Amino acid sequence: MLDLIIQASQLAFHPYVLMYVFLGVLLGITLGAIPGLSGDMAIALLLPFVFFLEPAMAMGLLVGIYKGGLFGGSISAISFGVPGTPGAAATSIDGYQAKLKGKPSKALHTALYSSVIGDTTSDLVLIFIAVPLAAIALTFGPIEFFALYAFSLILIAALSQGMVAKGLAVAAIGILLAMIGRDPITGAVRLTFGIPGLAGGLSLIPVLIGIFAISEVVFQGAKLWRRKVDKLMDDVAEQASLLQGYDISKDQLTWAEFKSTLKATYIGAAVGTFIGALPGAGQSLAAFMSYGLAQRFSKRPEEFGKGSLEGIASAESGNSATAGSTFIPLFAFGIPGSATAALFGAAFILMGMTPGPSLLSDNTEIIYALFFTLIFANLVNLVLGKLLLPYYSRIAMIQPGYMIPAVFILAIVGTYAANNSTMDVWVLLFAGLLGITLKLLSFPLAPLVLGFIIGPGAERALRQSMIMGGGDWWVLVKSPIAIGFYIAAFALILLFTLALRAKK
Amino acid sequence: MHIKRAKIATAVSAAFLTCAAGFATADNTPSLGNDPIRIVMPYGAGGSTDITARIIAANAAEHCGTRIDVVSMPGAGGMEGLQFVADAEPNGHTILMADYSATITQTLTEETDWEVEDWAPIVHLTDWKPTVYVKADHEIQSIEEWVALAEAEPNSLVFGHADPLSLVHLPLVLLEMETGIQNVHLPTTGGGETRTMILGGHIDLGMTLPPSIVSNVNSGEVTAIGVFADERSDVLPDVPTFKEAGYDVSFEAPLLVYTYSSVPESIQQELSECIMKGLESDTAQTMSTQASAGLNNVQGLESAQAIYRDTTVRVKEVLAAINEE
Repeated sequence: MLDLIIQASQLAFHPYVLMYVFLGVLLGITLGAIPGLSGDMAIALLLPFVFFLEPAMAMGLLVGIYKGGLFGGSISAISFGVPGTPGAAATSIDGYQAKLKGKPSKALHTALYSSVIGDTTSDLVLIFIAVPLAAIALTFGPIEFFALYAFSLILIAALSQGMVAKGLAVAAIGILLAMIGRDPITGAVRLTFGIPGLAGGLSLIPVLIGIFAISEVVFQGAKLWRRKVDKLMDDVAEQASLLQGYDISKDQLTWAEFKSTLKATYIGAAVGTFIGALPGAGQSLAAFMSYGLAQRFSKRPEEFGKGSLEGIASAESGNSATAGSTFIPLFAFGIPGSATAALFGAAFILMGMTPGPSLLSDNTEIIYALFFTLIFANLVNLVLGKLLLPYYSRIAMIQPGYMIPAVFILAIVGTYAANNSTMDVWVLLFAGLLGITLKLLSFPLAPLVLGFIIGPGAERALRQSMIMGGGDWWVLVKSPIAIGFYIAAFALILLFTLALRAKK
Repeated sequence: MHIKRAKIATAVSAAFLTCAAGFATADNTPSLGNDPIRIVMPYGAGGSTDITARIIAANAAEHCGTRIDVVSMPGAGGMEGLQFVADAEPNGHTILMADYSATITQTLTEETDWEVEDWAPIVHLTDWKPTVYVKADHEIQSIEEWVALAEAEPNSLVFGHADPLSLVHLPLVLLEMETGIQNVHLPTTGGGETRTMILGGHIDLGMTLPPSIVSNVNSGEVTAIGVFADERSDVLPDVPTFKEAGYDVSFEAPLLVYTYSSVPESIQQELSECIMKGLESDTAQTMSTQASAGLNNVQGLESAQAIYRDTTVRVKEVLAAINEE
């Protein structure tokens, strides 16, 4: 064990790996701070290039981007009231108010510290839980896996931004898209409409990039262009007036203030870690839930929504605390619990590591190195975040006109390079178009991608179970573990529905 | 994993070095010309086939007189890669490396622009030996026990294999034809999932290629009970073949390099010879041992064509038998 830790730390603390972590965090904070761009998008765009890096370096880069992005989103949320990432939406409630009250530095620093604390908590839980869980995972056969897939799919769809019907609908579209290609059991080609290029199914990378990058950039860009530019200009004017008479020395976060936010931070860390571990629940749900809980337990709940530092701390810590625990289902079962985890899963596969029960036993060293990197990246996030804060509050001003062509070019080149396939480029454009359409109709996109990723596994597990059970449907409830999952899915949905009702 | 990376890196850097050498000696073999040769591989990058292709690229370039690039085209279940080679100009600069699933099985079972005979094998790189294995504490621990149990209770044993009709499924079909036993066939995502199901005790038997279970066999977690090959596997020397157990079933999967048949025979011959020369070099053999690529008995055009014809006949037999059912 000691040997392993030494070897893993040698891998993780190699100068090049450290460099990639720095680069990743820098990129992540930068992209996260720009509304419309996110860490997920950067990871999706970088996927094809992962293969050309050593696994430890690639991991460092991706982890850095992810963590930087989680915090970066709060910069524009606080500075402009425009959340840079969906997870930062709750942060913007109190963050923007605090900034308008002339406390941008306090707000940003609170966000940074609570983000790092929440994230680190979550990573520690991942490190100590993923290993024992992976051992249990071997007891999962097709029947148990189908129950777990069903549990995940139902939760993913039901929990997406409180739109149960729309969530289920897009998850179904995702599953349907995933069924194009080869039948997993008979090997027959299906749903290709006679297009030979579709015989192998839609590739993951163009679908991911199309849904996340293309549609997001086009949509955000168009929105910013048409409506938000005016608003942003007003904000800048407002900010300028605020800055007159603004004294940075009076806007330092004091130790007493920091301590007063700690309770909210811990609540966020606990809630975020728990929600993050559930497949499909996601950052924004975690942020809003911890915000709500922190308000209930706060000594000054009346300040929430009016620039409360506790409000910022709980939201940001809840958002960031999903970072580590979202990998638990991926590491233990090979099921990505979030879009980010799905992207990391794809990266693992490109590096020759298969997510699932054997991930840890087959790649012990590199996974332990990843654990070190996860913790280390938090420190980098803290340091870089502190250094960059003064400059980055202005980054939300980058014109979408420069962003869109850059992202488009990266997306197309990256997609083609991954498989040398022109078909994939068409899939990318189609996925982008589908994403834009669904967004315009205000459907959530995450369930689609998760449905697309989980669909084939669920179908295979179902049909494997049926083959093993000789075609008898009762085989699906013959396992106590499976029954447990069905009950848990039902109970959780009930719980969340009631909680949402109570909030309204 | 880390070590494997380093090997790929070695192979790649060696490829760059040999490129330089390739340009220098290009004048000696004018017929292939200076344009780079592309080896198209209808699989994802990073797998064992990929490494084999990179060993070729690194070592054959100086003998073929020009640079060799490896292109991975896994799209459309590999068919995109085959289409690309079939559509390329027939000058021998776009060649294919694949096992028989792509060129024979899929060509026979799917609608394609080519026939099996349109692929001209030029080098026979290695043979993969499909291996049947069970969990170490399973009641079946030998070929004989398997057959006996399957005869006593037909369709009670669940057998996990990768894709249907793949090279780790067809041998099972052949054995069932030979012995009349019946098993429940369970397709999995591949060797990894089959192994997890075996280790978790969810299925009884599984089939895979030896390198992927060597470590589990050595650690005593699983028992390899039989190999569908004429001779035992180098990496699993204690495991008997099915022939030794008295069942005349052997279905090794040859890994071949092909040109499309429209490429002139002289060029096919030339390519075959220069790839062979490259793979016989000491560097290539060292790389192959490191990567467990099994390139220690590479055969030329005649052997490649013979094994391709043989394999085609066998695959057709098995497919016909499956269709009768």
